[in-house]
Amino acid sequence: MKLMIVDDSNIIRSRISRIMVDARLPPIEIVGYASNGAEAVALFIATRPEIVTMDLTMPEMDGVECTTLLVESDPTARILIVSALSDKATAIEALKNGANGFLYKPFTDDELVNALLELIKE
Amino acid sequence: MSSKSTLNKYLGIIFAVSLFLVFNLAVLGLNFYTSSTLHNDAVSINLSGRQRMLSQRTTKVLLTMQVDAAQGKLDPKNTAELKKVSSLFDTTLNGFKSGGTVVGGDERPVYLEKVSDGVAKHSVDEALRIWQPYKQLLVPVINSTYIDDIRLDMATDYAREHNLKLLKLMNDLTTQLEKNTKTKARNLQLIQTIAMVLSLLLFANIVFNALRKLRSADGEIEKAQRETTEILNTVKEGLILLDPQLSVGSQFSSSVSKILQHEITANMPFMPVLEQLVSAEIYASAKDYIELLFGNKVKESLMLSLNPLTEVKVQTKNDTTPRYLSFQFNRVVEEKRVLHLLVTVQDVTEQVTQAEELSKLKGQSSINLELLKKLLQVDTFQLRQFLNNAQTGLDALNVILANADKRAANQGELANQCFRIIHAIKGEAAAIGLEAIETQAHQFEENLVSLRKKTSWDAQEILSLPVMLSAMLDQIRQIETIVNVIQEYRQVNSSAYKPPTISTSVSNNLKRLAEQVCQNQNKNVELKLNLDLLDRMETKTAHQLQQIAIQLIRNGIYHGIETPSIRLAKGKSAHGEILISALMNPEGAIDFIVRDDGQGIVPSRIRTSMIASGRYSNEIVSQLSDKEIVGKLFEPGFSTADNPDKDAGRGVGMDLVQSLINEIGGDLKIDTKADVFTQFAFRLSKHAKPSINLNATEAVV
Repeated sequence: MKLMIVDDSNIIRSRISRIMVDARLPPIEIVGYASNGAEAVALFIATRPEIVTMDLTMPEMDGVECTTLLVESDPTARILIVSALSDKATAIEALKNGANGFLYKPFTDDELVNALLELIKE
Repeated sequence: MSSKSTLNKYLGIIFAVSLFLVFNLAVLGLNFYTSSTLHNDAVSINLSGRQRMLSQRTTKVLLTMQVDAAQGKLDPKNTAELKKVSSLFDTTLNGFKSGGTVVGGDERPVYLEKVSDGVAKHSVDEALRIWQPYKQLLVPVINSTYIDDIRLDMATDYAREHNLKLLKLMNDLTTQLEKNTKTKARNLQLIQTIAMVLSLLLFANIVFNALRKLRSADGEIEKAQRETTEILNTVKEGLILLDPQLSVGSQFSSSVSKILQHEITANMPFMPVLEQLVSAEIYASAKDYIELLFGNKVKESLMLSLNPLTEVKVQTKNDTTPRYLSFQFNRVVEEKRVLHLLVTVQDVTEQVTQAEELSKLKGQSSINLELLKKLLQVDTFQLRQFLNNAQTGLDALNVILANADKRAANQGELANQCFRIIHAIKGEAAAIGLEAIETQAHQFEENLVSLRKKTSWDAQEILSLPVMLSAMLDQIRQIETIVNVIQEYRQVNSSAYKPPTISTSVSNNLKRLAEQVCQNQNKNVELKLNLDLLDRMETKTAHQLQQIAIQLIRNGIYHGIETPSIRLAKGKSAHGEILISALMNPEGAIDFIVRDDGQGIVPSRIRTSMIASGRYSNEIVSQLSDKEIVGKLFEPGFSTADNPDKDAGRGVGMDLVQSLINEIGGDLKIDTKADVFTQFAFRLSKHAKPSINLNATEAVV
C-alpha cells in the first residue's frame, strides 16, 4: 500500500518515515511527503496513495480542508489525522469530512504502527 | 448466532417433519396403488356381469334361430349376433383365465386381469370346460349359410342343457369378484385409518416437541432477561444502549438516572439529556462524535482519544458542587453494521479532584514524586515540627554566620554550635526520609569541618555557607507549602483522617532511620521500641527524645553493633538488637533507655582508634584515665570513625545528645560491657553531668 505523509514539520515527516522503515511493514511503502495541504493535493493526484497521515495545522491549506479534497478525489483513501491539537472539535471535524482515524502527537513508534495497521484493516 | 448452531437447534423438528412427509407420501402412494387395483376389479366385476348377460343372449339367439328354422327362415342378423356375443363371451372368459385385452362395455378395449382367487378360478375353469364344446357346436351354426337343422338343434340342445349351469358359474364369478373387492376395500379402509391415526400421532409429536422447544427457549430468554435486569440493577456504572435514532433502548442500568441526575426511561431521546448536562460547545462535539461512531468510516479505536465526554464537568440543579462524568461509547456491531452504541457513564469526580490536587502540588514546586510520596506517608504534625526546628536552626545558623567575624574570640565554640544545629537537622531529615535535605546538611557539615580547625574565620571562607543555607531554606519552604496543601486536602476530604500519635510517628521515623543506616553500613539490626509514654509528654520533649534516639541509633549501629560475620564469630546472633524504651518508675519519673547488644565501649579500643586516627599522640592517649577516654566521646569534634560519612564521623552526635539532655534536664548514665552491650539511660529530671559505668557489675552514679 502506498503511503503519503503530510506534515509541515520536517522532524515529524522524517520521524514517521523512520518508524515505517524500522517497523519493516512490507505492505506499506512511502510514496511522498507534503508540507502543506496544497502540496498534498497535487502529490495525491500524482501518486494516488491508499493511505495518508495528515497534520491539521499547516500553512496555506489546513488539514481539514485538505482531507475534504482528498476524499472527494478518492473516497476509498484512508486518512489518519496526526495532530498535537488540543482542540478535539477540529479533529472531529476532520473525521466528519472523511478522515478515518486520529492519532495524538506526540506518539510512540508502536502507537503509530498500531494506528496504521488498524487503519488498513478491513 | 451462526447458521450451523441454528441448524442443530432445529434438527429434531426438521427430522420429524421429514418423517411426517415421507410417511404421508407412502400412504398416498398406497392409496393410488389400491385405487388402481380397485379400478381393475371394477372392470372384472363389470365384465363378469356381462358374461351372464352374454350366455343368456347366446341361448336366446339360438332358440330364436330354431323357431325361424322351423318356419324355414334364416335371419342373417341372428347369425351375426350369435357370432358377436359368443366371440365376446369367449374372449372375456379366456381373459379371466389368463389375462388380456378385451372389448369393454363401451366397445373400447380394456385390460382384464386373470383371476387369481381360488373360488373365482374354479368358476372360470368350470365355465371353460362347459364352454369349449359349446363353442365347437356354435361354430358350424355361425358359419352355415343355409338352415342346418341338425347342427342348430345340437347347439340348442347343448345350450338348454348347460345354459343355467353356465349362468350360475358366471354369477358365482361375479359374486366372488365382488366379495374380493369388498374385502380389498375393507382392508384399504383399515390401512387408511391406521395411516391416518399414525400420521395424526406423528403430527401431534411434532407439535408437542415444537411447543416444548419454544417453551424452553422462552424460558431461556426469560432467564437471560432476568439476569440482564439484575446486572443492570446492581451495576455501579450507568449503562445505556443507544439506537441509531439516538434513543435510549429498552434496557439500561438503574444507576444511570442517578449519575445523570435525570430520569431515564426507555425510548426517550438521549441527546436532550446530554444537552442539559454539558456546555453547548462540548455538546456539539459530542453529537458529531456519536454520529461518527454510528457510521462505518472511522475506526473506533482511532477516535477514542477524541471523545469529548471524558472527565466532563457537569453541575445539575441537584449538585452542590461540580461533578465530573466520563462517557465511554462502544459500537455494537452485527454483520458490519453498527446496531447500537453501548454508553457507559461513570462519575469520576473523585479521580479528577485527586489528579487536580496532585498537579497543583506539582505546579507549586519542582519536587519529585518520590519526595511527595514520602511526605504523604509522614505524619504532617511531625513534618511541621521538623520544619519548625529546621527553620529555627537555620535562622540561628544564619545569625551565627552573619556575625562570625565580629566574634572572632570563640570561633571554635561557634563552629561546634553550628555543627550541633546542622547535625540535628541532618538526623531528623534522615529519620523522616527527606534525603535531599539530609544530603544538603551533610554537605554543609563538610564545609564546616574545615572551619572548625581554624582559629579565626575569614569572610571569604564562609561565603559558601550562606548560599548553601539559603538553598536549604528554600527547600524547607517548598516542603512546607506541600505539607500545607496535604493537610488542607486531608482536612477537607476526610473528616475521618486522624493523624498518628507521636509515639507512632517517632517509632516509624526511628525504624526508617535504622533501616537506612543498616543498609549503608551492611549490618543487621532489629529495633525494639517501647515509646508509648511519649504520647503523655510535651511535644517538645518527645521531639527532643526523638533527636537523642536518632543520634544514639546512628552511633549504636555504626560503632556498637558488629558486622554479622564478627557477631557470628563471637557466638552472637547475626542480628544485632537496639532497644529504645521510655519507662515510668514507681515514683512517676520517666527513664529513657537506649541499649544495644554490640561490642560495648572499650577504653583500650578507643585508645587504639585515637592513635590510629592520627589526631592524638601516643603520649596524650596514655596519660588519660579510662573514664577520661570515654568522656572524650562527648567532646565536640571527637570521632574514631575512619571515614566520615552521613552516618558518623563528625564527632557531633554525642555532643548533641549531651546538650539535648541538658535542655530536657536529666542525668545520663552509660553502662557498658565489652562485647555484650552498651546502655544509655537517663531519668527526665533536673540536669546533671553524665556518669559513666565501664562495667555493668559495678554500680556507678
